[in-house]
Amino acid sequence: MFANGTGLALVALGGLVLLGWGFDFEILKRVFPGLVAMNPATAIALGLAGAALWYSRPSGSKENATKSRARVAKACAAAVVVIGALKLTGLWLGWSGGIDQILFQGALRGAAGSVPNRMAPNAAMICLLVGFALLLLDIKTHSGRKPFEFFASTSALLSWLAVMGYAYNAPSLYAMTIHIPMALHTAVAFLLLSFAILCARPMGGLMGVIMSKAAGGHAARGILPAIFLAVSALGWFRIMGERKELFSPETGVSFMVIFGIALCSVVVLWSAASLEKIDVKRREAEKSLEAANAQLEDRVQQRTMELTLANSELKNEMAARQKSQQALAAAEANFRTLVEQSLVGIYVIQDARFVYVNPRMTEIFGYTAEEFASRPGIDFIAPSDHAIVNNNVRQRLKGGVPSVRYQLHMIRKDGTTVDVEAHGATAEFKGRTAILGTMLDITERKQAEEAIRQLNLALEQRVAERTTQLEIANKELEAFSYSVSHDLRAPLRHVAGFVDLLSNEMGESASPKSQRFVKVIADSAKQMGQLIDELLVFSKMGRVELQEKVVDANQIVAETIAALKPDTEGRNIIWKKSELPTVKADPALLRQVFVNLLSNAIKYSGPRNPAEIEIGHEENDDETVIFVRDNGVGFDMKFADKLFGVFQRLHHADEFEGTGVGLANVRRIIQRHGGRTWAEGALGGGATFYFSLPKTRNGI
Amino acid sequence: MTSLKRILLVEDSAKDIELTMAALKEHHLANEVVTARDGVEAMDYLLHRREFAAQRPESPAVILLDLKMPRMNGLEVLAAMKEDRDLKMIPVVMLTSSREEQDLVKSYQLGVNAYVVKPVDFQQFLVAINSLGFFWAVVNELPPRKGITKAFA
Repeated sequence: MFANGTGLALVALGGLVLLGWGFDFEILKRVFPGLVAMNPATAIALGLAGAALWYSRPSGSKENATKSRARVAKACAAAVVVIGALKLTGLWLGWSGGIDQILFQGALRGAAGSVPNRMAPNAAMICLLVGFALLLLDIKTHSGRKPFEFFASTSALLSWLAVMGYAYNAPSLYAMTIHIPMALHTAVAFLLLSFAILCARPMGGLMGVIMSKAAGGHAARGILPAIFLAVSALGWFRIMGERKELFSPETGVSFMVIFGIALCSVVVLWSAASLEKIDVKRREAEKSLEAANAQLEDRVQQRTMELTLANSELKNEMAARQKSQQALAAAEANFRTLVEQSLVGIYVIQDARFVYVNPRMTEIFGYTAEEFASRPGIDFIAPSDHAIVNNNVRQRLKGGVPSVRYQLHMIRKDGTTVDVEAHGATAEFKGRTAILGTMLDITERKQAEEAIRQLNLALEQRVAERTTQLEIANKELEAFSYSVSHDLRAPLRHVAGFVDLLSNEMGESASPKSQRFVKVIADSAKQMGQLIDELLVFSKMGRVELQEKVVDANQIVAETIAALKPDTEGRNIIWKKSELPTVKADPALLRQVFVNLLSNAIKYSGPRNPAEIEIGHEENDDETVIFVRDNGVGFDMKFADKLFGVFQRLHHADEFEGTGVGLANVRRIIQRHGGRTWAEGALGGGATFYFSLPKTRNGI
Repeated sequence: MTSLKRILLVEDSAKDIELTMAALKEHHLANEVVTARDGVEAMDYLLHRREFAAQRPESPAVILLDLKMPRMNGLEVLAAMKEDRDLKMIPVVMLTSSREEQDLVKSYQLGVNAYVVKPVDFQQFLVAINSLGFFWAVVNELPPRKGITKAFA
């Protein structure tokens, strides 16, 4: 900005000076009367330098424009160099004429009388330096130095020297011995030009340091003008003092040195203090920045942790969701397979239509899924069941009944009726209320049930018939045994009675043979009487009603042994009786069992002395087994099966008397109790008779 | 004890009557034995009807009653007697071939005084008849006479 302004101002100054020369305006040529005027060549050089500065201003976007401008700038700068170089070369070679006398020759000669207005040698030197500076404006050495700054600084110092010369009134400083001195406004213009050049490219250069906003720039901006102005002022005061003889040159030097030192000290201290202030501020700023940084770091760290945590949670959640989605998909696939391959019909009813049926439904009814969906559901139901179905649907929709299960008749595509069992539940299907259910074709079951019902009926009828038959047979049997009881015994009694009377009638006189015959008749009649009695008992065992109670077997055995006392008279019998359990049985019949078994044991152990009869029991999970063991004559196991048959005997009546009904009675009684009977024995080695009574009994 | 009371034997079988009479005779029982051949005859005798109308009215000491008889059997006789105010106090002994439980039960339900099964063995039969006759005709104290009974009724 400063550089650009200065550039334009110099162009204008050069122009004005030339105008001054052209129209002879003294004020334009020398500013103050009596002072040296600016040579026209110098004015041209100044104008060209100003133009070069103006054209070399850095600018933005348009590259072509910048390039052409740079060319103009370089041309102007080169011209300035040429002017300076020609003047100096002229001086060196002793040319009388030169570049500074080409223009306004008359005016130049006439104005100053003896001394013509020439371009000062130091002005030419400055021109040369300024020109180089402008030419090298954008050149940088490898080490980052900027050569133009050297040239510009040197020209600035030379210009300042000239200005000082005017200020101290010391012509030797602005006039080079025999040559014409540099004009005041020339010196000031060159000084401004030099500064402007330095300011034209401030970035990274000397001016960059000065213009910097950092502490260095701040100090430089304070110190440099102070030193320039103060030192120059000190020098002026000393010269003035000495000239007016206020003090001697030595004193002047001393003053100057002292004030110089004081001034420098003040400046140094001031800048140190201001640097210190800045530094403290900076350090505070740094500190707070550091704290803020640390805080920020903490927050960043915390936030990072939170984010990491949230991230891992999110990841877990996503994994879980993915897993559950997979599981859901798998479950869904499984259920689909189940539904599609189910042996049971599965349906979904929505808006009173079968919106879904599985393949089994199409098998049962012969309709395709599309046909099912195309008609109202009620059309597939036999008209006789419409009322039931409608009622069920109503109840379910009311919400009172979550699911129902009932049987109904439906119609196949071929028009036949099919019995089904249906189960329906209210559910949601594709986001809307529906009935989800299953259907089972129970035609076969119904047929089977009907067949079973028929069979049962027939069976019941047969059972009834058979029962009647059995009742009749039983009645007949009763009548028979009743008749046997009365009518068969009566003649026997008569035989026995009259034989007795006959024997009395015959008296002692009868022949022994007759007497024997009479006795045989009597014995036979008696034996037949016994047989009839036994047979009647046996028949009764099969018919009497069981009256089961919990009975103590010990008591029954004891009573039986007591009752059999007459049979054991004169016998040596060792009774081995272990503790028996309580059993559930008809006490009278159980007594009959023990009477038979114990009397057998007594009878068949007759030949033994001592006889041993053992009564004991064994328990297993579902039976109580009671046994009677004797050391009697025993039996051959070959005939074990025959033992329990009616009138079956293994011994002759001569050996052991008996009718062969006792064990048959035992078996019949035990069978009626749901138990078993069996025997073990050996010929001459005793016998063991077992019977079992079940612990729990179902029926007879 | 001026006059021994009669024994009424109700029996359809002549053979049994003969055997019973033989047994009673064997033991010298002095009581008069009246026989009736079935239930109807027995009731006629007891109620002095028909052929027994002219008979001296006297209750027997005991009635030996067979069970199985034509026309009216022993149980029916027993039932009829127990229905009759005068006859129900006369001791009745069932004397029968049968030991059928149903007969026993019914007899006792109807209020029989004893139930005796005739043994097949004649010697045992003699013992039984002897005991019976001795007990009922001699030992047993009969209920008071008709007139007194009526006073109580």
